[in-house]
Amino acid sequence: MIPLSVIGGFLGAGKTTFLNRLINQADAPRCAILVNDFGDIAVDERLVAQHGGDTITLKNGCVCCSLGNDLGRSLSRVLDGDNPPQRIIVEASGVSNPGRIMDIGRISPELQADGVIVIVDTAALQAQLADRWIAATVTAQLASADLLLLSKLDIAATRVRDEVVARLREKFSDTPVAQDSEHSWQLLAELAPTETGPAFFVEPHFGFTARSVVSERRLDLQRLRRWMQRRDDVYRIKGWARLANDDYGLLQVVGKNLAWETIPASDDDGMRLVVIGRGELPGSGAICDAVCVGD
Amino acid sequence: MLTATPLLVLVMTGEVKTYRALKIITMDGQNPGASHVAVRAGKILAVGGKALESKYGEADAVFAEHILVPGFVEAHAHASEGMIWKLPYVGFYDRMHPDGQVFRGCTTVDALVARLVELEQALATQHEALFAWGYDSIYFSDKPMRRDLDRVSTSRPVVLFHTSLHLITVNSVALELAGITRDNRVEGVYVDDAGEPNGELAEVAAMFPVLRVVGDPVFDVGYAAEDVRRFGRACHRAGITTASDLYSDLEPDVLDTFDAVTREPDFPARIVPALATTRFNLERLRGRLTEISGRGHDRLYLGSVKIVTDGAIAGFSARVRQPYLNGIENGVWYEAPQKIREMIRALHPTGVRLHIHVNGDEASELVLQIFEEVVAASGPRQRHVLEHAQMMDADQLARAKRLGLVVNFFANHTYYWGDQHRDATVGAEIAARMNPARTALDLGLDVALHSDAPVTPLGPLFCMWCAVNRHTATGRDLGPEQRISPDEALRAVTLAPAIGMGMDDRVGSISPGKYADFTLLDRDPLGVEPMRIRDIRVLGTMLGGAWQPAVSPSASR
Repeated sequence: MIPLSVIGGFLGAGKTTFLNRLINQADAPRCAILVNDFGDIAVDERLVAQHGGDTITLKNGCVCCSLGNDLGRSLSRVLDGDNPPQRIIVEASGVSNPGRIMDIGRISPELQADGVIVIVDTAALQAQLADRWIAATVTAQLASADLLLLSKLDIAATRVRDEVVARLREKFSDTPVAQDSEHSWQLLAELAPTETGPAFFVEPHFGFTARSVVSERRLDLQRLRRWMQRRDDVYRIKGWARLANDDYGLLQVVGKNLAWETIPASDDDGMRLVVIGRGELPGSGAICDAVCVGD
Repeated sequence: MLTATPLLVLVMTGEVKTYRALKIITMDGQNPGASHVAVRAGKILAVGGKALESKYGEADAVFAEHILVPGFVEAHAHASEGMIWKLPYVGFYDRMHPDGQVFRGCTTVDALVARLVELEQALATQHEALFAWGYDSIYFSDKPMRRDLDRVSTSRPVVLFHTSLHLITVNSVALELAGITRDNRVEGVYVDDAGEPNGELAEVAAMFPVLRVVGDPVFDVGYAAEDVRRFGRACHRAGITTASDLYSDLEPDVLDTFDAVTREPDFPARIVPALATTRFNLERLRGRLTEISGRGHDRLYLGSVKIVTDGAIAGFSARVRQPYLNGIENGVWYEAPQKIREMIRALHPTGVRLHIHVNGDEASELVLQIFEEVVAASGPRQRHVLEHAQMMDADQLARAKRLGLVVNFFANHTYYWGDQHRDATVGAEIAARMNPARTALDLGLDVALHSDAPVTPLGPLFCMWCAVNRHTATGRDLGPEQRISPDEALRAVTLAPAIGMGMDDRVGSISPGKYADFTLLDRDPLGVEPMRIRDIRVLGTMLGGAWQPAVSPSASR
């Protein structure tokens, strides 16, 4: 399964800036980026291997393609290519609900849903939420996010930023809010651990805490479920673990939903999890004690 | 007394041909009725009575028994009408193939299944998927589900495309191949009472796994020359000599295809594609307009732009000022309001003609507000068109009139979805006010009517019938206050759309100097009983002076 991430946000929020940074990062993993407006993509010419029609191929193996009118057809083209990407990133249009696009990743057997990032125009959000034409559209976008990313902090006053953060945390208390930064890839990786290992939080986050758990112990899914039910300050866990029966796999927990997928691994692969929540989370040793098979 | 000087004779090169008809309805207010028309070099030289014969010679009597009207102008259609017929039609209503074969409507689940079984047995290989189009679940109280389609085949995928193309209904094999189960589903995968997927899949995410496995037999392929020719034949059959194609990317290969086919000597219509803004920002839209400029010719008109603001009323996706009957609060924007504003603000002063899709009344409100700003800033210029405009009220229409906008109503909705609008989407009161052609005409607006083919069949006479009678498919009156006269309706499928498309200097009426584009009818649309307008037959069309008789429809099935 190829991980799929969706980058959403209202027109002008800064999606293209985010994507351009992603593309131009030379060490980017081999990915396919499907964008709405091909002409806005600015690739450093030194990175371009081939520029043709509605596709740019980069030397690092990434391709950037125009979405065209049909997301399904564009995705099929990417999946059927000679050299399928290690991950796919889709830019949602400025008025669409990125959650509905991510449904493709949720339902398709070939894809794995790997996070919706909604970029928030910090300076404009308050006006957008008061705008009769677009308030409902913007609200639906925010509600679909796994991570809200504040952009345009250079032009938003600190007071405005604080108000926006407070408002987002009030309305969408389960969604982490982060600041857009130069580290686009880390932000993505945080949503979705890849082969390079679970990434860790890019600071500053607003009021969210992360714990990384690295251990040789075996995970107990039953204990993990019970633990999640007790902890309303933990809303998300991602990473890899080994079970008592020696299965190795990919774990994703969002709220009460737990997904486990067994994947091939070498014997020395251990547990590498990132736990995301609010306030003072237990330390990694305590988490291990709570969710691992007892000695 | 003046006589023709030798100089004048020299200027009058080209053979003059005179035609007489039982009646010529010109749609030209200066000369509404005539019996003779003289044509030279593809254009109308003169319109009048028998006196034309003494001037230009004896009239050809090919039209002598029949009624000549201006070639119909289809104000809002899509050339994909020529593509979709690659699949068999299984819709609820009878529908004619561009080549004349009539497909009988499948009005019950059993009839639909029987038709599909017939099609299934005709498939060549054992496991290929069976596709069909034109189905619309809204017409069925006991709508067909996967179990019904399982009666068609339990070994191959069966995929029905809804008319809107936003929905498919599939059988169990298709669901299995796609991996869609009660535990693997998303919004848009509809389920039965037991929680099992019922086969109905809405929108791209739910449809993707199925189309991924079976392929998209229509749009994966793109336009072939034959598709454009098929669209031309469909137009010809409906008496249309000028047809819009109101949503086109005009990619270079598509433009090449349209260019080549419309230049073929017997291509029967002038095609007017509008460039869709969806995929472009302003700068690149302008770039594309520059790229295509100069590519047009007298059967291909380029340079207009289509902006889609909202969804569709029957899909609960139009932007409305009041919630839908089923509790859905509002529809969706297809473009951001600020992008719509930016496009209109930038393109209006440049003379580009805009066709703006506004189905719901909140969408028309937004666009009117934008035009009020834009016209205040840069004055009225070219006429733009509000497309569909289905829910506009008298206040909005009055503002549209002040702004010089043309309204293009989706007249056929009254028939095809009038009952559903009354009972399921917006309710009886609003349904009766939809597509308010009477109010718009009384306010002095130019009013056009359209089919939106392939959403409904091409057929200007049928559009006229809908606006004149306002009957739903079950025969109920829907908003009789909004009826218009046959004369007004004929103008709405000839001159008014020509005005909307900026082509009234060359088509839309039988007037000297315009193209000799005519449609020949077997009866007088202004004379027959209004309920018979839809039964009038198109006997052929003339495009630029070239007569092409209608090809007899082949047998029904």
